[in-house]
Amino acid sequence: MAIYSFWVFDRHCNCIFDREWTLKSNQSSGTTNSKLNEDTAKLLYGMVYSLRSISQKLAGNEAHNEIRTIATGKYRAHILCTASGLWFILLSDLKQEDLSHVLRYLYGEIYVKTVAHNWLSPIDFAESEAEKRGQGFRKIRNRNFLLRVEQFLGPMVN
Amino acid sequence: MSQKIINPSTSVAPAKHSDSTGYDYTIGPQQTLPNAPSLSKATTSLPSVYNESLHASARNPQVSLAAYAFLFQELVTQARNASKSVSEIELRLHRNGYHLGIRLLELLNFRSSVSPGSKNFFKPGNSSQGVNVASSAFQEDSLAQGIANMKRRDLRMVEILQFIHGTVWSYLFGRVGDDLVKSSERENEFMIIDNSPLLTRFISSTNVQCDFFVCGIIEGILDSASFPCNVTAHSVPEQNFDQKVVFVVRFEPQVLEREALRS
Amino acid sequence: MAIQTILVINRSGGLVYQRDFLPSAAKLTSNEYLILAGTLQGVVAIASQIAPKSLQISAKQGAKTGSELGDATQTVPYVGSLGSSAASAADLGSFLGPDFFNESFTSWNTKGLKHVTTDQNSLFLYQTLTGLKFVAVSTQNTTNAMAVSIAENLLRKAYCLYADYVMKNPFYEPEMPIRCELFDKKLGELVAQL
Repeated sequence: MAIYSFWVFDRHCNCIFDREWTLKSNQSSGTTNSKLNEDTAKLLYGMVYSLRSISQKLAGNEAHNEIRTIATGKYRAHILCTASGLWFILLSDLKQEDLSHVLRYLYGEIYVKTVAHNWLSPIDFAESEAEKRGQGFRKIRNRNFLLRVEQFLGPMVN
Repeated sequence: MSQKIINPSTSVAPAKHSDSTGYDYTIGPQQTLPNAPSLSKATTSLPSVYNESLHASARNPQVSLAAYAFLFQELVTQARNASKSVSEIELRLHRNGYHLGIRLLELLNFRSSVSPGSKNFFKPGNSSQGVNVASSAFQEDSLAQGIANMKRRDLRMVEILQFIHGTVWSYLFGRVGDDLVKSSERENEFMIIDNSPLLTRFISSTNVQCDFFVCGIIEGILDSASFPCNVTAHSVPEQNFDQKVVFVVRFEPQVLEREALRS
Repeated sequence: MAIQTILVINRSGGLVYQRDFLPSAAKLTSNEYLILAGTLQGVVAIASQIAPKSLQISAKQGAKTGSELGDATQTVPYVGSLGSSAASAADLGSFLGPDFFNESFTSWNTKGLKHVTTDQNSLFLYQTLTGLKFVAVSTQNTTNAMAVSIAENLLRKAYCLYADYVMKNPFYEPEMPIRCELFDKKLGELVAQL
């Protein structure tokens, strides 16, 4: 099992959480909610957005054709798009063929319980009009969310 | 043999032959590489190049189909760029083929003149291991003898058509034509049928009939063999052979008259 | 695995060939297909840009220690009995063997997009050394490695057909939309044998 990074995007195209591991041997290596990852996040968003629009066109009249995985020569991206417009994206090596169960756990058991059920945490991270148009900078800083993501995904890194 | 037939290439010393490699018009593409050790060693007892063509492997030289296709593609492209109408493209291809046909008649007749029966006689192993001069003199002798058995000219319509359908087709396309039919309606009309023409194999049928190149070859051969005629190509798609082409040969009336006099 | 659509995209991202094989295939207008081709072209480039840092680091270390772990070439195994059983050697154009090729081959697409799965389809992408892209859309959403290599084999055979029936056609203008009856026909046979 090897995963490389985990991303969450909200419905305003903003990256609200990113976690990237840089060393296979070290579970605590890498960055969390890093400024340096802003450009990568935009490219990733763009790629998924483009492929989503393609898949929706290919589906024709049947409206539901969400994208699941994207494989390149080097890595595989697993995608979960929720009804509320959130995207959970997990980058893994090519051996992981389907990690949708992991993404569903991250959404249902971690995000919903630590962010959505948490009355003190904002549910919409864009607070102004500009932030709703892709200028957002706020991230999930909730301690419980960070901790549980780390506990859940950490063992999968190496 | 008092009278030797003088051939420009036999007047060249044998040693020179060992250096000349690649394509030789008398035998087709050569199998050996320019500086192959077996060649340079055996300059003294090297057989004449004419003997080599009798060798089974040299008789079936393989040419890359892709190279063949690309060359023909370029020919068509050139004809297309220089022409204003479809019939002009076909005319140009026809003309290109015509010149090839004239040369092919000479070449293939010459090659089939050296009969396979004389093969053993010419083998280098049989030749006396004399001095160099003697052996080269011996070779000129042998060639002359070979040509003494010159293939006779084809005089009848059927004979020359069989030559095209068999010898020419297997030289150009590696197999004989699929059928040779005489028209039931017209006395002077014959049809050579090719189920999957090699040259136009990769060309999707358009309004330009690229097989006119082959028509030109046929017409060139027949014209220079004194069978004036007119050749056209018609594509006749069938169930299994959707690229089937029929080459219709229409001889001039004087050919029929001559044929009638002979029989 | 049923092939729904095959697309060919030229090196500048223009759609040069599009063909639907299933009547149920979504009917897109030609304009939509052109946009789709351009989008894919862009995505292929983006996909190689966002390789995870962890991979970039191990590639650098690999280069230092001389191992090729980071930028290893990938070979795709040959999948036999795929469009070769019925066809005789003569039908394979300039490929004189029983099949177009019969050994595993190196994938030239080491970094870019290869395979996308959605709820209903998967999309496979085969890139040639010259930048030409062959895209197949199938009606299954498997991520199985076997399905991927079958698709790569199929698209490589489509490339072989392209080499014969498109590139050797004197009436085809390079980089322009492909209108070759024989290519259509042979590609149809190839897909039908799947």
